[in-house]
Amino acid sequence: MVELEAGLPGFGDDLGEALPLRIGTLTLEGLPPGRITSIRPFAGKEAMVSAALGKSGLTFPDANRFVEAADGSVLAWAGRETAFLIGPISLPEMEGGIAAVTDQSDGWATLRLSGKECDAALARLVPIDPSEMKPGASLRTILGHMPLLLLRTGADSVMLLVFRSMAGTAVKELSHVMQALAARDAIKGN
Amino acid sequence: MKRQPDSGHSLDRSTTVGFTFDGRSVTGFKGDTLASALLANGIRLVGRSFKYHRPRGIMTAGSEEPGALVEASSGGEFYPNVRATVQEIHDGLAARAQNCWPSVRHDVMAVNDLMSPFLSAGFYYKTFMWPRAFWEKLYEPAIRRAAGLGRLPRVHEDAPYEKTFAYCDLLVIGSGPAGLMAALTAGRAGARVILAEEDREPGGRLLSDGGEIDGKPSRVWAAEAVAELSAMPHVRLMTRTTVTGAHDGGIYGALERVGLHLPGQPHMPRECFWRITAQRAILAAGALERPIAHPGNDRPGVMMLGAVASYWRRFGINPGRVVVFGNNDGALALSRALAREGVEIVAHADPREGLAATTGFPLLSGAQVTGTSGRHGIASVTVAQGGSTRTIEADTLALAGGWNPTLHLACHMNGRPHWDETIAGFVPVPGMVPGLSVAGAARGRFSTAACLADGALAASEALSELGINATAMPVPQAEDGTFSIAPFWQVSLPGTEKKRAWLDFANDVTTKDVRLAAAEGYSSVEHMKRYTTQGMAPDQGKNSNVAALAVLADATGRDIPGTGVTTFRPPFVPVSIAALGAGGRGEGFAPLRRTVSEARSRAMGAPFIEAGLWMRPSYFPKPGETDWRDSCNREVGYVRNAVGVCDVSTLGKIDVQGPDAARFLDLLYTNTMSSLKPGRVRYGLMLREDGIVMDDGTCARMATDHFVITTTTAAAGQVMRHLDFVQQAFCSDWQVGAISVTEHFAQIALAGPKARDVINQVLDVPVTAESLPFMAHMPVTLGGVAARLYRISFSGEAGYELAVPARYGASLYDRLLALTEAAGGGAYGMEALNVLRIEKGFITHAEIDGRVTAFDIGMEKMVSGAKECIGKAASKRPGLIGPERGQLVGLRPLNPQEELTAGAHLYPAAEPARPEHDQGHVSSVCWSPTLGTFLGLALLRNGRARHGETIRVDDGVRGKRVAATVCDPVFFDPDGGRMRG
Repeated sequence: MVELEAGLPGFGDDLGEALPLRIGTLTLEGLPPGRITSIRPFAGKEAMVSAALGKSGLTFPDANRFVEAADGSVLAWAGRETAFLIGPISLPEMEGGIAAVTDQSDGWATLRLSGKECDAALARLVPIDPSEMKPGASLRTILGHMPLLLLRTGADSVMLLVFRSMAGTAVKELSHVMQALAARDAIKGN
Repeated sequence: MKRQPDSGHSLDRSTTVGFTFDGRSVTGFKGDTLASALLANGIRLVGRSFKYHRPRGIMTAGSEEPGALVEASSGGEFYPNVRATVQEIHDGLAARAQNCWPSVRHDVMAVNDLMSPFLSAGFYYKTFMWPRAFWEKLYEPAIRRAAGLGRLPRVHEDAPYEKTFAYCDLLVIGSGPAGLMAALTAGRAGARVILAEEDREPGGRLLSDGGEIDGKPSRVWAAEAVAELSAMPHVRLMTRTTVTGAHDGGIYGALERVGLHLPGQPHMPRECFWRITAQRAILAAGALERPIAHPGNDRPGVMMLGAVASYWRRFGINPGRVVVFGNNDGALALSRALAREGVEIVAHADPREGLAATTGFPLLSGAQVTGTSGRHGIASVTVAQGGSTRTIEADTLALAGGWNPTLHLACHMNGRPHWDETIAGFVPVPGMVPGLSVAGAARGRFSTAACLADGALAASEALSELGINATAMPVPQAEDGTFSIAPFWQVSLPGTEKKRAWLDFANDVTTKDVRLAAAEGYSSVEHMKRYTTQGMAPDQGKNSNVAALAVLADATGRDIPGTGVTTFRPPFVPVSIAALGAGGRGEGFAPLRRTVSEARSRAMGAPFIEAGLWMRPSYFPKPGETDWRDSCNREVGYVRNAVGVCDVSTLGKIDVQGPDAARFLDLLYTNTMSSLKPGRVRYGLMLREDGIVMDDGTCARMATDHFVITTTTAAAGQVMRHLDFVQQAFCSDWQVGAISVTEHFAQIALAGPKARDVINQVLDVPVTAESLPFMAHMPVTLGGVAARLYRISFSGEAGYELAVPARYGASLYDRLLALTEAAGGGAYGMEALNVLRIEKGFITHAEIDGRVTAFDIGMEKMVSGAKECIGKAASKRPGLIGPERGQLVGLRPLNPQEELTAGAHLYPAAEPARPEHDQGHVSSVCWSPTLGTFLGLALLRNGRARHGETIRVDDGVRGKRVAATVCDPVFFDPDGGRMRG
């Protein structure tokens, strides 16, 4: 019998220690790995999936949106006909093969970026018009060159989900952006 | 030239800034450009020209500057071709004149100027023709050394740069009267506006205009407009930002000088390249004043009249005694204004006849400048008038040949401008760039009043297209008037024909060169440009293209529109590659994908190679091993004789679910997956739509409606995309969903005769050969952690792969590593993995390289006859099957110690290595420690029928020729007893 230890996926020792990063007006945190489940209704079964979700007070989100459950878990649109259930809420029963459901918990590293210049930082890595990023937005896009699921959680904060294996690069690129913004702030008016 | 006391409204005279020029310490004020600070210090000679090494001074006050290009260094970094008119001074800035040696005053290469008769247009096509080989070896290197602009630094730059996206309803390019009015109109209507201004200060020409707007000095009005705009949260005012290109889809490139005006600081971006997506855009970039071609017009001290006014008013630079040479009323009015303000205009020469005398300076009507003198700068100007000439002592010669609208961006999508006789210049026509309109001087509306009105109008039109209501706002009162010009391009009085009159100051193109080009048959403007290099310098012809076209028209007896148009490509100003590639240096080029075992592998000293962005260990060196092959041989031995452990998490893993999952996989794979039983694994092959092999991997059935398939590391993304495509395009109504689980699972392989012993030490319930036979899988637990155990093999030995949620991956790898080491084995890397699979004849993308069919690799029987699959029909096309195809074979060198090399080609022993004898190529090679010989896999024409033949393996690149026997590609354990056992 073996006892396996769970490590924070993706961040590695060096980066795990680097977070949270506070540079200038911005803070970058790594969120502990929780549960992420992908839900993809089969063709024609969308209504049944929505009905099943309704039992937990959730609805299947519209494209580019996420919905929140009472306990703070979110169900976020995550691409074509796919939503990610993120958080501790238990997965509603999907009886009778109405949706493809997979565990994605360890596939994604979750970061939170917050602060006054949050949008300015995103503008350097994410090709999305901030005006499209209203609270409740959930966007499949890119961060630099890597796939990104971006959740607008507040006026000055976002949640970023990146591939676990690429989390180190994500932290590095975000930290460069934060440093450059702080450097710009320091010369304002010059 | 010197600085006037207490003048120059762009300066902060309370802050002195120290910098050096050519090693000499100089000072200026905060707000100075390098050009204004040099002029304030009486420095006129700042560089040498490209070809003739002629002295060059400061000619303009903007980014179009052709002459004042310098080398600038700051904070250890060094940059050539910096425009002194754009670079602001800061403490620690060290500037040097470039393209000269030993100094800008005594440049030995100025001898080129004496050689100019031999260096005329197209000289390198004529003079350096023979002998043929000399061009590449002698002439070109020599010419390149003598010519050229700044030197390149010989070290990599590591200063930071940025790239950014921005979005707006309206992008306004330029903040002169038209741009400010456009931005105000749109800003007050609530539109999201980006106003981009190249200069440090917004205001454009209003900063150096003497006029009034609404009864206030122009620059005061501009400052008030800027203050209003700055207070609007939906308006982004970007200074030091040049819009460089108009691209498809309303996207504009812009280069911001972020930290170039300050000493370098850590993390401070030097420049930022913006990609601005605008619903609409207004180009209000003004106009560029053009010189007049006359003998000696390139001498330092020759400057555009507008630049003289700009330096005088913004920077307090007194130009000394000025001769003006202009051909339009605007120039005359400016001379009058400057004279009133105290500039000493010693003469104003105008080629137009019959102009009435004016007060303040002698106006020479019907006069032309025929020459200048002065060694390193203007000392006197020769003017011809009515058959006589006179020499006038002067410090500055101000040229005013009219204005070229700055329409460059409008040409960026291949639009052609229109020749407007009234301003003797090209103007844009509507619709050259979709969504872009042009306003103000950029479309030939030169008066301030016309610019203000035009900016407001353009913005109103744009807003109405955007569906934004704009309330009409009054257009401020300002100077109006018509622009009167008599086109005048070159002085061609008797006696001047033999003298050189410059068109392109940076590239040393003269009117003679253009005439020579015409005489030699290069009468098309495109040919003339290439023959003379006209317009190919860093200013891209901004100062010279129209005049060169006029000279060409004159030389060929045509009018200007009949001769051609000048058009422009992006970028509008030079853009550093570092800004375009910001963030992409080194590791920034692509994300690094890190496996769960990476830290352990690094601790073991493994060198890494990249595979599909993943970092994978090549081998794990041990003390006493002298090269990688020693380590690799040892690791192969672990697997063949004991047990090896390898992190294979990088393989693509896709979860496929749904009532139609089996049917979906049957469509994707060449072979049948619907017949696979739950708990079993099958090898599968996928084709592209064109019938070529896309990828191979395994397919495991979890349950009736649930599969997990694997892909190769490199093709994981491609296969996922393919699944998405097939589902959307061909079976969108099927009940199936597929999603990548590559990242969620860490997967660790154990291989070797002792693999089962090791695996049973971590499983809560041990497995036997019977409970988990070859090509089967089962759910298992490891200390309560749920995992999936696969019995598959890529090595030919008994093999297991254990998939756990990634958070347990590092811990599992460490445990398995310790257990394999205790069992006499250990970790193996990519090199050993490669040897193991070559010994078994297993393919990778070295074999299925995008040109290879299932037939070629001997798997045509896997293309099921019983069903359809993607690529099946196309795979049967003539030419994709048959003896003419390269077919997968094994190669063994006759002498086992002779090294085979991948990439080598195969020839019959008696034939030379020529394409017509080429029989195929070697795709993979290895030294097999198991068999004691080099081995190769190859694609050999009709290879399956040629086992036993001897063939020459010829590596022309590495110069190796090896005789080898063609054989079956499975070298080791051909009946597979070891992996089944």
